[in-house]
Amino acid sequence: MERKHMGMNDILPPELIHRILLRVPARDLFRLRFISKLWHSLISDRDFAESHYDLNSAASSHSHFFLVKNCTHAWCIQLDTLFDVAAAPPTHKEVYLPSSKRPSFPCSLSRTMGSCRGFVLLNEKPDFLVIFNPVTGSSKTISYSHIKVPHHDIIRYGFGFDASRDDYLIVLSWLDNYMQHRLVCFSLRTNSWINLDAALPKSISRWKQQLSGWFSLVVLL
Amino acid sequence: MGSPLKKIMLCSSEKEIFSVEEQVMVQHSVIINNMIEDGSYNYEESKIPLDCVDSKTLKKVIDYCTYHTHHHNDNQEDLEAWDAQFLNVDSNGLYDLLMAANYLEIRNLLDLIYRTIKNMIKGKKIDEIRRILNIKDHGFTPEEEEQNRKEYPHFY
Repeated sequence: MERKHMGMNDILPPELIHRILLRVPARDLFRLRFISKLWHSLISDRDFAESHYDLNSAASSHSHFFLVKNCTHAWCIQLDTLFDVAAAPPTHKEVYLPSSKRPSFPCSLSRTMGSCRGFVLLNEKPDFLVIFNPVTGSSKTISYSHIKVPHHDIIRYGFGFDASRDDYLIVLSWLDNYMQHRLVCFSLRTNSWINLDAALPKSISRWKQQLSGWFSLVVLL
Repeated sequence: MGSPLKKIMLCSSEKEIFSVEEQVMVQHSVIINNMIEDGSYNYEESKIPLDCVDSKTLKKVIDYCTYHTHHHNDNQEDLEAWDAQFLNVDSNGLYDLLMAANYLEIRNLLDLIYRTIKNMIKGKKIDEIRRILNIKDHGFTPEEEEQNRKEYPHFY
């Protein structure tokens, strides 16, 4: 090929383009998937997200406070600026919620059920869970319509990361019609629900509240 | 560490020979440092063949290593200004340098180029990035491209 007709993809091997993309801020990555088919496959690769997180988490370890504003938007507020008087006003960014892209849905407020390593677990009525990355705007919707919870109980949610299997897990627990304790787990890696043959200690199962932090421990046991 | 007066020979893809102070290359290139240390370079006869680096790029790489060897005590601002001027090349020239720095394992030059390309991409829209980075064939079918543009018009 004549040199003047060559472009980036003709000169650089994918491996070097991969290394360039690892250094790009996470908030640009979602958009960059549409640059070319090659970039799309490099960024969508499962290991890419992992490497990008490892390379960049040390450099920018700002904790964010995630707050749902209305049906379409949420705020990401940088925590360290919240407590720093000199940095007033706090640095915050408004992000589109994944539900805002589905205009057919009636407007209902998403509830934040938990967060883990930069992902937020949202609950959307009637029975969808959404794992949302507020930085890139990408999301995954999971239905739990097969779970029937009697009126006397509510579902407890948990969201955690299992480093040993490199998997994100969502745990749901509730009391069924026979007052039996039920525990199910969704694995993002296998994209499937698993019934867990385990019971929570009575004292905990009586709490009618979210136990997301606690559940990340359950997940790891 | 070689003596500052010793020279080594580098041979470009066009078989052009470049004579460089050994110290300059040893300090910057992991590959050349290894060759000198393990004794595989023969000062009487050896030329290090760099078949994938053309003369123009090799000259630039040698300029970079020479300048940074002799000016490493300069203040950071001056060095950054020199680096910016040094990388003021078209995108294909930048990729040739990246390939050469990767082949020779010149870590500070690699970091500099990665950082430069990252800054060229950051916050820009897709059409602009394709132009700046000289991405000729995006590989999407016309239908896929149209669909993407329709779905995310603000990205383009």
